[in-house]
Amino acid sequence: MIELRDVILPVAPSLLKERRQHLSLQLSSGQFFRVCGPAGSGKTALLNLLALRSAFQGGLSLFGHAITTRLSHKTRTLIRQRIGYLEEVPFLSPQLTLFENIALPLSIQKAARRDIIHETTSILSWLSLDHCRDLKPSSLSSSERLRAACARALIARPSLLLIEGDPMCADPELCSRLLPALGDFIQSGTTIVLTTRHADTFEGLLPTPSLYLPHQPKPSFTENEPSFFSPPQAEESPLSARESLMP
Amino acid sequence: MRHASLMRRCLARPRLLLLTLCAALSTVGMGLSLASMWGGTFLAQQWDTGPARMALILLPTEHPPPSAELLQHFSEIPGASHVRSLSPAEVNTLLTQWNAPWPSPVPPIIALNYTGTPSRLEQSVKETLPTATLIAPPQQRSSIPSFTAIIYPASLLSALIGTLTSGAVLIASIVLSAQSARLTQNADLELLAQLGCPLHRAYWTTTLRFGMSCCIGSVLGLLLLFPMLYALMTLLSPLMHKAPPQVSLLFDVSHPSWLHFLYLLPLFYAVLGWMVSEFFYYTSLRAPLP
Repeated sequence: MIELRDVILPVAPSLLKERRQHLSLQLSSGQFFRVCGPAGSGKTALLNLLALRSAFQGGLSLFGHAITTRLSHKTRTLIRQRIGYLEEVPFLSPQLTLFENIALPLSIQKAARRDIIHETTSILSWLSLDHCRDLKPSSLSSSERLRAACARALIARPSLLLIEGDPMCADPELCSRLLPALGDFIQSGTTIVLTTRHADTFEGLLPTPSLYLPHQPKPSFTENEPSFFSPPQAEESPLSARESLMP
Repeated sequence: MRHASLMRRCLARPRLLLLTLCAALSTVGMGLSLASMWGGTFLAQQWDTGPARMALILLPTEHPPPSAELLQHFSEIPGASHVRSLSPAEVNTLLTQWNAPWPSPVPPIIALNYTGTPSRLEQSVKETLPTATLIAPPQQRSSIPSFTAIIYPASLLSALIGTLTSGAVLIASIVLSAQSARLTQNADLELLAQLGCPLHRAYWTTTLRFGMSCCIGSVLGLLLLFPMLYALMTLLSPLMHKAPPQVSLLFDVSHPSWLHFLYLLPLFYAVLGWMVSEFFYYTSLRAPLP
């Protein structure tokens, strides 16, 4: 479903002299994948790349579409509609109310008005944001903004969910609600990529293979050969998967 | 909650007051350029053919207005053409030029273009109307034809430069306003793009707003232009040997019909504003592909 072939990610020079790392990765549908690494290790660059927000060198395939310069604008738009991204510093439109901000992805996907209202109301209630549904983002606290961004990322039930996990650690209530929900999302086939700075964050909460950045995997990639970062076998325990991926 | 409405409202509303003012100024500039072209050409034409060959026949004050038969009679004189009876307003204008206080009522005057010999016309007038006074065409100055020959291309050139400058000012204003609006909406557009919104659905209303601003500016410009043209024509009417414009919306019936193109300027500006801003948004938002 998601495939990175020898993609080059930037790294802070203090972490890697070469300032760049090669990454090959395969993620299947309904997989939870954790990316750990210190600041400057390329976590956000990887998420931006997967969210089609930045240019890249190498091969990328999302939902069966090779992401190249020849990809049509319409296809790119449709792919983006299938991606949810919870950023560290989320941007909410200052012109819209909180309710409208959260409803925006469904509105873009032309969902029925009744469904938009129902889904948005439900998710606002779930994240305890009912009281500020008609407020503009400028009058919200940073915690409420983060929850709103979380709701916006989840509301359209994306096929690929990208999460910068560190801000969530500062909001234990959000964390406690979100993690079980992520399990449901995985069950329904959503692929989740979560980045954290600390290796022990979220560890053991979900069976997950982890990728540690920065690293220098094998430069070549062949389809027949299992990738260095290929998902673990079903019988593998999370711990063994993690150990096998240690650089 | 309508989809388009939510996406449209997601974008910050651009401030287009300056664009409206520029469109108004551009309309005034374009209108003055076109009117000056017409005015220059008309003036040159008048000097070339009109006054130099115009003869006036002043009838006694007590004489009834000239009949159609009388006008027909004068038009049959060899070399005479465009025979007509001047209206009271035109007579007043003429008398004002002569700087002669004239007690009411004003005399009826017949004007005609005459290219024949003066004695022939004088004889004919005396035969028909012994009490009438003939003012024969003045002697043509040799410098006038060379002067009017310059006026024609000069008025065309000035109109072309004025029109092109006005158009360029408008297009530059639209592009600059679109650039400014694009910067204001940058974060919103980026958000919509990240959420997978086809951006043309979002910025369509913004570009429409550009068109509306240009249209409103053009209407304001016309409202400024008409009184200006009226004032100019009133000032220049003695030179043109015409009465001040007696018209509803400044356009004298004798004006060329193509000058009525000015009425279409708001529509033209609206289309131009919409198309230029649409093109700008389209080109600037073609996301760099990875």
